Amino acid sequence: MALHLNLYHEIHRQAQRERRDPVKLAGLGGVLFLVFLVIWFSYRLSVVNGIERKRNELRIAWSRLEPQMNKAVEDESRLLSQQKSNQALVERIHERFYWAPLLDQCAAVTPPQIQMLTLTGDLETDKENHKTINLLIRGVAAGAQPRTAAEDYRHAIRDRLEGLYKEVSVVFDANSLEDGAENVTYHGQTLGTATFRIRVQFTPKSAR
Amino acid sequence: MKFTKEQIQKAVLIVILIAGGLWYYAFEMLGPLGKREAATIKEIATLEPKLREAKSKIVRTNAIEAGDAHAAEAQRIYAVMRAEIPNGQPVAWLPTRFAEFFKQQGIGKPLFRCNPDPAESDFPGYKISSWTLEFPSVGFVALGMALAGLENQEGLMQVTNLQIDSVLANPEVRHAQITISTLVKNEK
Repeated sequence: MALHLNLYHEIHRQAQRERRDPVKLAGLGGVLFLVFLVIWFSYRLSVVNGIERKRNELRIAWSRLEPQMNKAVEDESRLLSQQKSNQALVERIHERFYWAPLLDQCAAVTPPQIQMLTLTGDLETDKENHKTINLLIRGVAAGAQPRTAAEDYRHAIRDRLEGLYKEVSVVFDANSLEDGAENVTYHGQTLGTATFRIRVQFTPKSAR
Repeated sequence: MKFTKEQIQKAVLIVILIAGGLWYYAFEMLGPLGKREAATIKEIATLEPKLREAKSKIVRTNAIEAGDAHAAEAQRIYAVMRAEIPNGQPVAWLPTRFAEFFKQQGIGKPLFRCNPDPAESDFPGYKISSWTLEFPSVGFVALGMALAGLENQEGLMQVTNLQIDSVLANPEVRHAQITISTLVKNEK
């Protein structure tokens, strides 16, 4: 067995002691910790900068959109009212009720035995621009059966108007169909008379 | 292991410096950064819904503008109204214009009565003017023909009421009364 003599053992021990120097190790640890803190701060800074960049983009977008939005809000009520007004104007023109064709129909269905004494017509328009026509026809019917003649006249009006308008209602006013006091001579025959009031109501068909 | 007084002083000094450095790091560097971050996130949280709302309002307004199906036709009608409705009070021109029309129809000049104006119309710059036209003596058929012509010619006019009575002395003629409403310029 060979004998080894370490003549540098003191130098080695000194080097070992220096390597394990707690102050040096603490210093090294401190530097590493400092580096970690710097890295962590840089990371946090970059995260915050990213968020701030996004915020700045949003601010720019908001400064661009805010005036547009204010204008849009101002315009919205104006446009809605304009839209309503446009619609009302167009409907006023297109949804007009024409009375001349109605008079034409009334004249066409009135036989010689019927005399129309008065014709009163009213156009009612509700808030939703729905129109209703009310007619009141007061007249005298002549014939062997004047009440039947008046009833036939009512049917004729209803049948004629049903083809042209909606929700047609043609009724005698309550107790309005009465025998007339006078007789009339028609084609050489003396005929009895009946007076009547016919109330007509209907809705014009929409043009659109 | 024995520390000298000088070493202890150094160690204490180092500990104080480290504590100060950590305090500075935590409260003067990370702290304000965190506050900046929180404030920014809060601002983003308010900006994002505002932006969404603004975009939706702009889109909605654009849709309203684009969706007005009657706009083009209404503009055309307004152009016609501007051209065809005379300026001035209706009493100055309406009876003349209508009387001329009925004269051409051969049924004579009606009597004109201006009715109280109803509420303002929905049409900016225009109001509805109501008139009653009275025909003391007119044939039923002639009246119907004239009315047809009037309704075709005066597109802004609407007959709101009519009354036709027989004249006892002459069954061939009638007494008629027509109430019309028409658009006129709204002048102050």
